[in-house]
Amino acid sequence: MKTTPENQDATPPDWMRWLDGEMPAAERASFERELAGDPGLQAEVEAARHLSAMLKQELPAEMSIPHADFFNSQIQVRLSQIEAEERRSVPVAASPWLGWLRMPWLIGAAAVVVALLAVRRDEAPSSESNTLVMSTYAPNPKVVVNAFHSEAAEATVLMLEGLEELPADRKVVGWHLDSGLTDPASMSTAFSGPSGEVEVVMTRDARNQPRLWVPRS
Amino acid sequence: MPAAAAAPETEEDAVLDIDLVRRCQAGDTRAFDALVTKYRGRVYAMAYHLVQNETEAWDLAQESFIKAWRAVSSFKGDSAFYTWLFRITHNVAYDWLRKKKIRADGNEFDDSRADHGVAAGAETVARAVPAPDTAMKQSELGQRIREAIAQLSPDHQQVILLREVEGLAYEEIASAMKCSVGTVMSRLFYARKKLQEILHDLRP
Repeated sequence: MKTTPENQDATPPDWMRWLDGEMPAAERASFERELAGDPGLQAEVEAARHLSAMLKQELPAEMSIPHADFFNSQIQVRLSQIEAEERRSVPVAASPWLGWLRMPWLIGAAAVVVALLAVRRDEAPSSESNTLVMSTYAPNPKVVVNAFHSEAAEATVLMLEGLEELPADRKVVGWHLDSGLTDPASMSTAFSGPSGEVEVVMTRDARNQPRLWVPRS
Repeated sequence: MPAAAAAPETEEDAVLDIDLVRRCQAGDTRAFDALVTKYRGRVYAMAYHLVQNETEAWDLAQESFIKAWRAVSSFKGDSAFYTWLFRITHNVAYDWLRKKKIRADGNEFDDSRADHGVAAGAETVARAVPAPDTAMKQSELGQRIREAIAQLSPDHQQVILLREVEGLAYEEIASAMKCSVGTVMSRLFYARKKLQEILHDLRP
């Protein structure tokens, strides 16, 4: 940026304060007399007024935001996350098995795996959803996972942004998981669904690579 | 006659906002959702005029509301809620512009953003439905104006938008930009002067 007087305090011409409605009434009459007798000043004011009118016409103060409902729902999701962080009322967020999900060795594992940790709201369930998405995880750091509740589908919807192409031989798998139990001895975590049955077990193989086991498959 | 600063929101609006803000301060996210719905179009428009990119503007608007939620407990009601929200949006967008400027080569701000153009499919709330030929001219004019604004420094972009689009008074702009009223007037004068130079062929 240039270091010109434009970034410093300076006394602007009187016409600008007059045009912007910032000139005190006491000065106004005097200025308007001066304006009436000065064609050069009139031209300057008219040019500024014309510019102002063009800007107001072409730059609307309000625009229709794309995907307005999603915009609101995303904010609500983030507020839920903030609330959960602040209250720390749900221990799963800091539990070993969530940290386990984020261990570096998972990075670079399966091309498309999304781990969704959803916790049922036991307190004051809203009419919109009784599921609070606590955390999502995608091994590919370029993939952003967004979740929102769709009233129409009566479901929690996951959106994967940044996933340009899904290889034909890969599947995206999601589970509704209510709880997880880590067994330090076997270094595995068993995740259970709403029915209490184990839906998926995450562990590591002999080469320290991640492995998913789906008992009911 | 000089133009007065933009009319403030109605008293009824202000009362409704205060009520919603109090509920937000008590942790009511539904009340905040109502404020988001009410102001998202204005926050998005401000961000869009600055960054001239639909996706970036969307993200910045999101960030502005999240910051507002985090800070809502500190809102004392000294100003209208929207003015306060606008200050947050300004800071978010300003940080973005400054980071973008730092990333750009050269000392001038005006060479890095002229190519952005307007995102395809950008929706706007039309003030009127113009005739097709008028619409074409307005569209071209709008593009010229957006390109001209993109050539200004971040400070000058902000001051022009705060004054001409949002209609804020000098004092409110100074508060939003954390500078003196004198600096606001100076920046506004030079920003207008530069725009007039760039758009000289559009002079009356």
